Amino acid sequence: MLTTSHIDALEDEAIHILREVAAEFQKPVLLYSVGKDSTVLLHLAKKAFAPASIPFPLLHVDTGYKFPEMIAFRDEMARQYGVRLIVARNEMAIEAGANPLDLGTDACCAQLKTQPLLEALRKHAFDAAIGGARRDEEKSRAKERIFSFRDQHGQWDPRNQRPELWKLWNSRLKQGESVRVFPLSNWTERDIWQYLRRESLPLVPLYFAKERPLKRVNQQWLPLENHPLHHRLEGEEHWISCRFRTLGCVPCTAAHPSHAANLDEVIAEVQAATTSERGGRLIDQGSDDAMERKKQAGYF
Amino acid sequence: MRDVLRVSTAGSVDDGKSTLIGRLLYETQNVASDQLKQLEHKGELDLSRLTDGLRAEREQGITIDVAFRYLNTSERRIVLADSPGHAAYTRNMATAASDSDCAVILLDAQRGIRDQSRRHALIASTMNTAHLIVVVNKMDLVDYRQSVFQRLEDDFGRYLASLGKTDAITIPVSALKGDNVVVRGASMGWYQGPTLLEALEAIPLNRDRKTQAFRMPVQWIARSEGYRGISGTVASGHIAVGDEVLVMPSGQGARVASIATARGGAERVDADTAVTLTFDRDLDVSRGHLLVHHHLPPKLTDRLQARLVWFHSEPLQPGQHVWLKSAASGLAAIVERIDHVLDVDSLNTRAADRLELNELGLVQLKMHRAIPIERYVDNKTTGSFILIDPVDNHTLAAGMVTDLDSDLKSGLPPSVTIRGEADVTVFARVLQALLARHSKPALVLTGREHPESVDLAVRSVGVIALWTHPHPGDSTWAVVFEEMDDDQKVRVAEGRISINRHLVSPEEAALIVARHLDGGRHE
Ligand SMILES: Nc1nc2c(ncn2[C@@H]2O[C@H](COP(=O)(O)OP(=O)(O)O)[C@@H](O)[C@H]2O)c(=O)[nH]1
Ligand SMILES: [Mg+2]
Repeated sequence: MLTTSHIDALEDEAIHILREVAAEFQKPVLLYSVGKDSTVLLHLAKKAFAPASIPFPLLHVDTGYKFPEMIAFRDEMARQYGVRLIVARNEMAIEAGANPLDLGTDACCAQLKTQPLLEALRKHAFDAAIGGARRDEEKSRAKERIFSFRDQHGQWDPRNQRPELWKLWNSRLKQGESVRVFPLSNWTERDIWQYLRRESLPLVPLYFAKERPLKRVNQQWLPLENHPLHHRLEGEEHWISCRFRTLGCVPCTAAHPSHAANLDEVIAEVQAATTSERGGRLIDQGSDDAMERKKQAGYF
Repeated sequence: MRDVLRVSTAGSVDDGKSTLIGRLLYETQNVASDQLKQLEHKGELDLSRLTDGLRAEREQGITIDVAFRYLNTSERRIVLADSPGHAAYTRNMATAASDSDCAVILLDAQRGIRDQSRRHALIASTMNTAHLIVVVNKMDLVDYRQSVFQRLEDDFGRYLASLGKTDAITIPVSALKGDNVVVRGASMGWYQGPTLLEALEAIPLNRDRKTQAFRMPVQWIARSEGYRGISGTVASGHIAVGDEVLVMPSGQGARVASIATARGGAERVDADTAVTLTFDRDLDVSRGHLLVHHHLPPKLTDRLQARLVWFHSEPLQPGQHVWLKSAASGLAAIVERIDHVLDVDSLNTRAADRLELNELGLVQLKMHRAIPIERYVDNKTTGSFILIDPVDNHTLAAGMVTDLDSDLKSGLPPSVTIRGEADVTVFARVLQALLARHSKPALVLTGREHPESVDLAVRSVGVIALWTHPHPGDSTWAVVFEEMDDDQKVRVAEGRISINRHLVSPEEAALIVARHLDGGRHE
């Protein structure tokens, strides 16, 4: 099997990037999404600045549809790592009952994710938002720069990205402009899992297999627990041993049947997997270029 | 050990770069089955859709921006940067090439060598990409004929030789059918060389950066009660506890007291490691400073000559104010002069008063203050920079230092080895190219005895030439250099020893080198 020495190289590259961000920008923030990539990112941030503490806060965009296990885990991690946590929510839309079944996934993401994210970045005047996105996740992500420039409206212009040469990032901004920074750009899903194991990092229990109530909708297994609109899902309820490969909002995250109940079993499963992880993300399937369009509008 | 190989692909539009990368990923089982489903197009598997990730790219069927893909082989992690072939996106191609260990240049067997093939080879060579692989694609369209391959290999080989690149591997493939990409296939029995994957797996990693002198740009100061650490990534060489380092530009010295890495404390670390160092005394050091080995400091200069790849639609003009960003510094600078612009096809240079979008040129820069900087051929990290528009913040150019202030001129001349029986015209072009691109004489090694061009060059411009009698491959210089100890190599590299002799026999060459190494003086 593949040697793991490349993990050291990826780790050092990410730390280099994190230090550049801290040094070059006025007010960076780490976008913490509670998932496995965010957990790796947070851990790398700790290493980058040790023994001093992480010099920027965490920002979590809470759509109101996150799994309760995620919220509990988020608060625990912020405490353990000793970082300030900022939570951004679009209370108005949440109150009005915005949901993907009525709005469609694209419009729902725009209201519950992109809008509060841009709002929070503006309000706190963050000029660099660090995220855990990886290029291997999705084809428009494969085009993303490590330092990805956003205009005053937080938008991405894929046809006009700043060239990135060597490890020299152009971090000069005008008032109101910002960058998104992706220290895990060159990591793959397998690398993330290997790193989680090597560093013995904690994870939201949803990543591990357990019997959960699911319904089969459009060839996806949708979780029923904590699903605010589960009564509107057609079909029969099944109890199936399953886990989640990526974590998002309850109504838009499909489970996949699995018996991998610990890290080693998950790694074995990922090594053997023939489908990509975002196969379980309903929001990416709006159309062929769903992600590209969302990113242009300012989504992460 | 760091098993990451960075590869950039380059070639003209439609030569099949995306298909080739798709093929590599597919046959090494690096494509998930649900991704494969998305690749079906009009009932067939279109592998190019794996990398063309933007809507406009799929609509127009061309690559606009660099796409990064990851390939796991049993040997190593390969990072593939698929870059656009279109002239309008040369800056993206330069982006992909800058950080690569290897460039894969595609030629279309049917259409032959095109402007873009040459442009990409030139950029890869300008960026000093260590390894070149030429892939002659679409062999299926020419009935897998050896003669077609042979002619392209020869023609392109000549162009590469004129860039000083003589060790490229050329591989005939069909990205569409798969021959010689991962699996050898049965169609080209006449080809004995490696498949593309075999060639990629055989490339040695970062050898040069490990043997260079220690350099570390300071990124960040880690402060905690009673603790002050200097954080950065080792750019070249190595550092050990107890080593004496200098802070540039102040020149202050100290000994390394401890080294912390992401994987715990270490006694000694190599290039590419992210570290936090502490020292045996207080140091006045901050971001923008450069840590170096005490006996090998780079020069401080406020003037330099550099090669630029110009990225902006507004041409560069002499007198233009820019912001220069290098690994260790960010500061204002002014482009005083454009020495010349390089013609991609002929490699001839011409005088010019502007440098246009996607052009390569040689310029003189004057900086706001003196900074530690080196020649790009000596150190990629400390010898590279980008230029930024100080008003609208666009990235204007990639820069590679070719020379420091002429008063400070020193160092080993750029060298090129010509193996085998290169003919005189090739030889002349190599010299021409070297002279055009380096203001300094070249050290030339050759297997030939008396090409008149060398004689002429030596007499008219003072080219330093050493060559051996017909022992191509093991040139005297290489042998002599191998036999030197580190300190001697260092003195040669620093220019404290130079060899200003012209036409000599191997025996003479060895004597001259030995004499100068002993004396350590200039002739
Ligand atoms: N016959 C043949 N066609 C090929 C081969 N490789 C690529 N093509 C075709 O050439 C066209 C351009 O390929 P693409 O990979 O998009 O080229 P790119 O612009 O260099 O990325 C497509 O129609 C491919 O199917 C090959 O080896 N043989
Ligand atoms: Mg393409």
